[in-house]
Amino acid sequence: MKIAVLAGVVPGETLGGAERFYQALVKSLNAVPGVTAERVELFCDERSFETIQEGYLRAYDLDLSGYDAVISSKAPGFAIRHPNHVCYLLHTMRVFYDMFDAEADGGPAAQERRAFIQQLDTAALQFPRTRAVFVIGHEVRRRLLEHNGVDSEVLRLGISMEGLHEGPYEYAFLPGRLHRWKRVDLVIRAMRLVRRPLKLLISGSGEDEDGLRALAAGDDRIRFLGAVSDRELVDLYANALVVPFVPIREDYGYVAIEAPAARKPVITCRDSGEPARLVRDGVTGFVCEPTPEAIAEKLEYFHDHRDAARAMGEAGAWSIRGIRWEHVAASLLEAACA
Amino acid sequence: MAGGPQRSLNLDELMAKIRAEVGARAQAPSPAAPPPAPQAPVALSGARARIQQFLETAARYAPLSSLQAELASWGPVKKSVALPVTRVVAYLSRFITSKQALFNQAVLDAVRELDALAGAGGVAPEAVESLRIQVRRLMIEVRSLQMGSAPPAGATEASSPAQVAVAARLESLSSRMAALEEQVARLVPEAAERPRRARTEP
Repeated sequence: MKIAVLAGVVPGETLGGAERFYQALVKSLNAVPGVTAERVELFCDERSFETIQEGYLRAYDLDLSGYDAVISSKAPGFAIRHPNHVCYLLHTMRVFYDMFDAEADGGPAAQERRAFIQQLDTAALQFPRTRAVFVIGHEVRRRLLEHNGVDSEVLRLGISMEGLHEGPYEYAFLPGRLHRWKRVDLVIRAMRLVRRPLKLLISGSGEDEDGLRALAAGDDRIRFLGAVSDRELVDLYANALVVPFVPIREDYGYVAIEAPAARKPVITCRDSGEPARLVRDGVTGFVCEPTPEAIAEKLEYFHDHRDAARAMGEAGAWSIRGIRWEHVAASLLEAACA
Repeated sequence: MAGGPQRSLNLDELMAKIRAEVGARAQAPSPAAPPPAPQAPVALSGARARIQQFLETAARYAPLSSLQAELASWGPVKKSVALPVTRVVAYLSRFITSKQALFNQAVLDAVRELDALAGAGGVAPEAVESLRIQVRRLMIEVRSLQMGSAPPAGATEASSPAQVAVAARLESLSSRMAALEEQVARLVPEAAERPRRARTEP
């Protein structure tokens, strides 16, 4: 059985997480006897509404009839036409959904564009055009049901980073893209309230890096490491005391499963989306209010209670043991072949 | 979504609307707008975006003679010992790392040149198909010329040397055109040989 994994390529987008997702998905599918999976790239320029429309058209016109099944994962890729199309949705274009109020001007033209994109997505994901819709987490499922009336099955992503292990418990570590949706500023503001010699290491780069560096200026405990390699990332996780990860309505958040895989507790917020579901409050970390005060309190707690950090990290590793790529591959194949 | 989920939407109609809008935009380009870039094939565009990401990563680590150990995850004591050591090692190994950095930069420059060439030379399958059709039309013209220049059936008069020369030139032209058509077809075999699949819409 020959399967096309449709991968969206967006100019200017950081490839780290997406790259790992597609590699792991293709690898897990190819591990199934009798299956040959290939990545097919679809170019989509998201810089304007017009180029986004063209992206949908490109997906709609793409001929993948040479494959027995197609797995899409993002807009506009799921507009593909194929009798055995299954969608494993990472996310729709959030600026037309939950981030619309924060990102768009809210005028009639913007409203019209949002409605059009939502109509397109709804139409594309309807059965039987799309045989089955899986999503990476409950946050995406809720969003899809609320905005598009499309129900879906949650199939959590496995860990695609190799070599995660436990090391000493030394500092707070915040990996990821430096984008306002990740709310790194919230953690930096929390550090102002932390009265302990706790270091905060921030890895990654992004459009909001300059502003965040300016916000952290003057606090010697905070260090920006820039983009790091996977190997460095593994070491940084290994030696962390705690991983604060407080995005706003995150679709999934690899960080929330990578940290427990390295036996580290996670601090997240009630409105952080899927991480707030992955972290068990008081067991594998803390789910707190999205305020600097609440985050600072938890950071100080872990600084003062390293044994608790170790115990919660251990519990976290246990809690994610069932999240595996093999299950993802098996479920997608079953839906594609049904 | 305002108004709640819409369940009876037709993707084909929505796509037809987009197609019309895209077509209208293409028909009426803004005079101030730059000329449209050649449309790269889907796979090529994606691959180029990834190549550029890889190049950025490579560029970050290319000048390794001037890179310093981050030791981000090391504690202050270990770091205070390790940093001077890494500086000494970096200094002593400069005789090789400086040359390695030059080599890295040269390779990066070469790959960037290749990438730029690929960007300039990327041709859409539709353009290749269009070229193939033009070649085919020229072949038909050549064949009709060959037929027109051939002596009528039953003619007893011998061909003149000029007619023979023209016929030979046309034959040569015809075989060269056939070879050219084959070469064009090989550029995008699927575009040339496989008719677009008639989709089965649900």
